[in-house]
Amino acid sequence: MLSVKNLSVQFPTDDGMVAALNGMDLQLHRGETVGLVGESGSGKSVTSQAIMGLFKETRAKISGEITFEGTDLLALSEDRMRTFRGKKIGMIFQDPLSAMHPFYTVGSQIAEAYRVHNKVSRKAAKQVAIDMLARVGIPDPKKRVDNYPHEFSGGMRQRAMIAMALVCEPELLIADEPTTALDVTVQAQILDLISELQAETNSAVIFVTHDLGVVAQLCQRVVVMYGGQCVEQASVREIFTAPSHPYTRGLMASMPHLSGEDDRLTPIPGSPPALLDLPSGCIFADRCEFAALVPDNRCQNERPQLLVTGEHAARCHGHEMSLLPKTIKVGA
Amino acid sequence: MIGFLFRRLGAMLILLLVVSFITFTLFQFGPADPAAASCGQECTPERVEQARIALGLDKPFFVQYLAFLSGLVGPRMLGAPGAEQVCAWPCLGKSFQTNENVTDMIANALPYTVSLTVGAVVLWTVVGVGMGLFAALRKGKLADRLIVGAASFGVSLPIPVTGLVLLLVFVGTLGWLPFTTNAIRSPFGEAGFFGWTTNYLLAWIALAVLFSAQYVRITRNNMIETFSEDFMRTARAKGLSRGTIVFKHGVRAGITPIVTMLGLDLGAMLGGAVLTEQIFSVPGLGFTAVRAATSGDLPVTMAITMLAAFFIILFNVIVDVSYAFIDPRVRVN
Amino acid sequence: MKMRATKMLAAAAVVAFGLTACGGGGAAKAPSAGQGDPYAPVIVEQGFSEKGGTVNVLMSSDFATLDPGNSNYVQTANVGQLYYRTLTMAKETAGQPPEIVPDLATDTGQVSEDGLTWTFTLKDGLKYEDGSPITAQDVKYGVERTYARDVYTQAPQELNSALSHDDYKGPYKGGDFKAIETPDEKTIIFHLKQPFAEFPALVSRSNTAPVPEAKDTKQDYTNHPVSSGPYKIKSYDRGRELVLERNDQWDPATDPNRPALPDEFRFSLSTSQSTISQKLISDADPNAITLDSNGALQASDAASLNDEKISARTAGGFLGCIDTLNLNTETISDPEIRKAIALSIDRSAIQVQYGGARFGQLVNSQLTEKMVGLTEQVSDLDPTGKPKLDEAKALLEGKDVPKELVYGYANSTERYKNIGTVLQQNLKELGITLELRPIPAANYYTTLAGDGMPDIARAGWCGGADSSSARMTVDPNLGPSLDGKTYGFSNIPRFYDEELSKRMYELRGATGTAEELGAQWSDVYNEVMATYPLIPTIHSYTNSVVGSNIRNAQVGYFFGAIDLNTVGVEQ
Repeated sequence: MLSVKNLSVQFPTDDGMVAALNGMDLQLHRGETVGLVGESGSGKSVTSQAIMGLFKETRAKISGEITFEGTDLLALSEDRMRTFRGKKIGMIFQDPLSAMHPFYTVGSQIAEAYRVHNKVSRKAAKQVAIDMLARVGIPDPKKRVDNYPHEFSGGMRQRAMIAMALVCEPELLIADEPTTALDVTVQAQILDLISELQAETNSAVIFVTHDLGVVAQLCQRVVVMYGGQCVEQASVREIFTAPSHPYTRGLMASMPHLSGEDDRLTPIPGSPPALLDLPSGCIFADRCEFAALVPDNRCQNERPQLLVTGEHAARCHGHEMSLLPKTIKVGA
Repeated sequence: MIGFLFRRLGAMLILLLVVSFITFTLFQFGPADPAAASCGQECTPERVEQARIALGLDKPFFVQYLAFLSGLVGPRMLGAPGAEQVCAWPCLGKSFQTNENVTDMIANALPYTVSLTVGAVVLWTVVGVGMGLFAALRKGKLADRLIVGAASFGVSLPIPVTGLVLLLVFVGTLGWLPFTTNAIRSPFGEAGFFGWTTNYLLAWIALAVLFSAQYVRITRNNMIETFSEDFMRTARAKGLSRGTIVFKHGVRAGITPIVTMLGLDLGAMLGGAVLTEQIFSVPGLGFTAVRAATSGDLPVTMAITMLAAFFIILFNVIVDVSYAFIDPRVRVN
Repeated sequence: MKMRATKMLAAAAVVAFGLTACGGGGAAKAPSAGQGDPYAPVIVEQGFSEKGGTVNVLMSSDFATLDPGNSNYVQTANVGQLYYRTLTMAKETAGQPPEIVPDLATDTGQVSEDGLTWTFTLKDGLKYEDGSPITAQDVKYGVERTYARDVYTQAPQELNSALSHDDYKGPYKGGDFKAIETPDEKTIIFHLKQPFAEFPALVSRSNTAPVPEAKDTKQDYTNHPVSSGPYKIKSYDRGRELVLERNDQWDPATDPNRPALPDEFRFSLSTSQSTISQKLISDADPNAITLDSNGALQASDAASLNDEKISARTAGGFLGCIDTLNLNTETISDPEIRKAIALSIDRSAIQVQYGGARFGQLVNSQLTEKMVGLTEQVSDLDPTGKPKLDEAKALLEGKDVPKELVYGYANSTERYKNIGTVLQQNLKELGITLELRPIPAANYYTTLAGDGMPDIARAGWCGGADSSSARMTVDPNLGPSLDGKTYGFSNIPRFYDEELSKRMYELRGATGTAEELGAQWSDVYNEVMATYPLIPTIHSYTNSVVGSNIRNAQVGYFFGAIDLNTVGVEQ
């Protein structure tokens, strides 16, 4: 359904080109939920925004391929892309307070999203918004439809945001860290809501997060990102039981026990790569505890390819050459 | 909302009272003596004292001030004993120079200033906000740089320069526009909308050159900031058209500082555009105020100062109220 | 930028002239060097006598008042001759002091043997605009009003100071005025304090404009003064426009002095000076004239005036006004030091501050050759205005020369400050430091008359009611007080000399022919001026450009602008 291949996105800055994505790959099937996992700056959000075509008519340089149901999205004009946005691909943003327009009512913003793709009257669109609010579990939607975003609580706002993203029943929903700004209890409700609605509409979901716990709960498949690349993708089970890439292993190791507190630490030594000046070899090499195992300084000199074995793919010389120690199962 | 309005109006009255008191005091202790100003080289001390009586300046300061205030509440008597005259409410006194009723003077001058203001404000808002928006949309490109450059040039051009150049070129040399006449004070008169427009056009342009520049800057900066807001991304992600995104979402959200500036400028303009009115021979409040101030004409200066203060305060209130219409978050507080 | 604007103005003017088919020519003569007298009067299109048309008068501000009883202003006097008449009239001829001729009265007055009583008789057939007759009582009432100085702050006082009973408080408080008798409707008799040879000139002032008591609206009279002249007020929108139309009750047979050519005068009262000069120079309105001082011309217009087509439309002439630098004789009491200061001053540099020769002539005396009975005036000042430094320094040898002096100037005009800068440089040569002290313009003269009088101050004098009389210049400027015991209140140098001041005091009441009296005043002036209480500088000359349809345009010696009485318009 969706295929992202060798996608690169560069932003010009005063200091030079920032390579936000460096050959990103991602596959998605109908009805599937994929978790897009990685640290801040790994390119998760850039990937989702590139799929939405939000870099069109900006100074960002894009290359590679994004195919959605046979359509090359990168080749589309802004106007053609508009017919995909909201209608076929919906998006939920991280902070619903800043992502919703402060000066318009929640209802009118939902109705607007509907009306732009469906020729209906204002009144009918408002009814759609009310129904949608009811569907996402907002009590007394007839009254709440005329409220402004600031009059909603955080969780309610995210529900409204979801209502806005799903009002046209898109085939693909991109949820960009939808729970980050919310309390833990509300987070769970929102996650439940997304999976419920997904079940109802049978849409595919890309779930962008850095919370592996959320991934475990919601997704079938996981794509791990690092330095603007997909370093590993596999089913949730595989990732958790047999992570191939050293970075994924580090993530797993750093993941607190599910019973424990979620403080989202990534205690892998070192810091993410500087996107202004990427190494020519493996992007993870200077943080990798196994890089020394690979002979001839390959990790430092040669960029590894994404090696696909069945449903599992990884981008690592050590893995490719089977030099890595066996993985241990993490979690309880 | 109603309570808010009443509070603001109350504060406005107190502020006006303070302004009137300060103006009155400044005049009282200023360097110029209006009584001595009323006669020239042959002014004997005796005549100065008689002029003082004629102008009502012989009475103690507070008596004068209270008499002035009484004219704001009801009719009052003016003039020397034996030649008193009723000054109908609202009485702002009579000009020391021409003995005209100040209320009439202001009523006469106001339409000119309003004509000047309305056209100039429309012109500079359309041009300034339009170009600022355009520059923001073309941020970093040639058009943006040209507009920003033109704006910083425009803001450095003083009204006397732009005014005189415009007059010389379009009235003097090319003759495309007529000399300004004081016979046209509104678009509803004999001259009609067209006559009104041609009469004030150059003055509007002179003002717009100066003010547009500021609006270009504030609009551009503000819009660039707004365009980077999350909700603008949301609007795009919904599949909205470019126009809807820019105007319905962007401009609506970024308009607050522009409305604030517009309100304050409007208030200040209605108090009289001194230089513009002088250069373009527009006998509005600014024109009248300069005459009055340079000739020590206390009642006229007082009245125009207070009116200018009134407009500034009024438009501050209007701006505050308009916030509530623009931004629903303000309504709750 | 300012430079460019100026040049563009010149360019604009040139283009405009090129396009104008100017029907000028004839009598006009530009004041240019080498062509005889550069200060000869210029009358535009003299000898025109057709009636009709509208004259548009451009002004940068409204008349301060139109009330003849409350006016000290030349502009009001100029427009006043159109709607009010006085017992006698000061009739203008370009370049000359006005001539005093009978107006409402049959002659210029009959004086009694002792010189203390003047009698005037009104002509027959005099009517107001409403057709009612003008009476002697109305003339008396007009004079009475000018005594109500607590109502009319600008009331003219030259006549009043000559009349007896000067404690009179005006008709509203003081009742009947004993100094004027009106035995019948035609006769009016004035009683004077002491003889006053120039009395016919005093009654030419607006005091004697008749005001019907029933129509006296006091301070509001300015809005519609009742007309006794050839025009009446058609409409008056204060600060915007005044329109005068013909008064059909005015009988030209009673009034040989007023040609009253145009049908209408339309005054635009809020046109900026730059617009006025542009309009006049470019002939945008061929029916336009202005009453603004210096013809509303800016320094930048000088080039345009040299254009032949413009100079054909430029009226020019002397005014009665002569500027002086007054030396405070109380603080600089040594006449030799005053003379040294006078000689050290570069008056030609001061002339430049006035705009150059076009705007006035350097003079060594306040007395002009047009004055009746003028005797020879001697001055050591250089006629071309150059300083005589060596002579000045020689005078100061062995003297206790003041180290610091103060020059006070009216703060509204840049020119007066610049004059101070010139003086500063000149006095430095004598080792004197000059402080420049601004004085609020509105209070300038009262400051000079009071404790604030600096050591040096500029002043101007325009000749008074009769600028052909030496007395009317000498007495106010240098004469003693009313009782003769000290200096007079408008005597800015505070000149008082036992002998000379006493002579002036006695001359005030002297009788004799105008020639005799003029000669005596001239002689005293010459002696006073030998002590240098003041330094004459510039005799003002005004150029005023008029529209191409304007005829008979002359600059009034008294009015300082185009004389509205004679002007006409070609249709």
